[in-house]
Amino acid sequence: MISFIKGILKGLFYVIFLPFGLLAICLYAIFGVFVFIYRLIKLAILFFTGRNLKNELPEDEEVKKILEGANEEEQSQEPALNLYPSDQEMYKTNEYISPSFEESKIEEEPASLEEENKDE
Amino acid sequence: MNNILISLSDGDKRLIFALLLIFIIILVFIGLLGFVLMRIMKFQSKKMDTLVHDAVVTKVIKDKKHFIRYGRNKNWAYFFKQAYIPMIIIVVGFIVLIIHNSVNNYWGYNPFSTYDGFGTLFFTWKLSGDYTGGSLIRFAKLVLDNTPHFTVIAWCGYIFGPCILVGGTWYLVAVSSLLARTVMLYKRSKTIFEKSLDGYNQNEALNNTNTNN
Repeated sequence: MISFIKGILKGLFYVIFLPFGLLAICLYAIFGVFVFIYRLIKLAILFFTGRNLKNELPEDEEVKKILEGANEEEQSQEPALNLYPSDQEMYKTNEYISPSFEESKIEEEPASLEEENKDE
Repeated sequence: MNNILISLSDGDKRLIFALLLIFIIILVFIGLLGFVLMRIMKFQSKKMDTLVHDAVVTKVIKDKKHFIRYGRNKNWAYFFKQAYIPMIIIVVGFIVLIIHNSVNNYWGYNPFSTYDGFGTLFFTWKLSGDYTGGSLIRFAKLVLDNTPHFTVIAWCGYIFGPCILVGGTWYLVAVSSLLARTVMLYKRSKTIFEKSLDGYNQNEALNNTNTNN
């Protein structure tokens, strides 16, 4: 019930302010047509004079330079230390052998000896 | 007031009640419609953040005035990008109309006419001149004027009508988006360069520096 009353009140609010909103949209729509034509003419001039059609703002170029500089800096820096190497990477080095790997080796050894004797 | 109520017939009272109900339903419907529109415009306004984000974060933009000028330029550029397709559709519609009128040498043609225009595809009604209702409130009766049918002579209306409807609606969506972004631009311009002293005490700050020293 409360939401229904809220809906009615919102409806009243929008009924009162709808004409102003529509007026704003209409004014913007008319103004937008003029701006559109102006930009179209500007683009045509840029096209026929053989200049860049992107027509970027000076701020955009500045931003591009800053971001490119930041990227280059990142790339030139040494790669960061891997604090969490994977198990495979650990096995490659002789410094670390996991206990589970050691145990499995001990268990496997007698079996391999028997197999060797059989072959002989 | 009482006299008016007494003079009303049962039919009138029922009619007033029905009208009141319709009025309330319309209000609720407009409320929902407004709510949906506001949500859409809020969604559209988020694009403004994307447009100016890099320039603000890299501190290329120094102050509020500069921010508004830059934001406005980006906003209109994005509007141009959004509006060129609907504009092309509308222009195509008008070119077809101009060609049709110049070929027939008749410039008073109504492309939405129910005889030889886009209106032939719709149901239309007209006032009959008779009235219905109670003693106090009366309604004019409507009679069916046109049933949907297809005629070859209305070909121009069939191209012009959809072009204007689709292009126009699309263009209005672009305009509402432009308006939403403009509102967002001014909202952001107030907060981005804001310096707040909430909870700041200069004496406390001084004491802290003294004890550190």
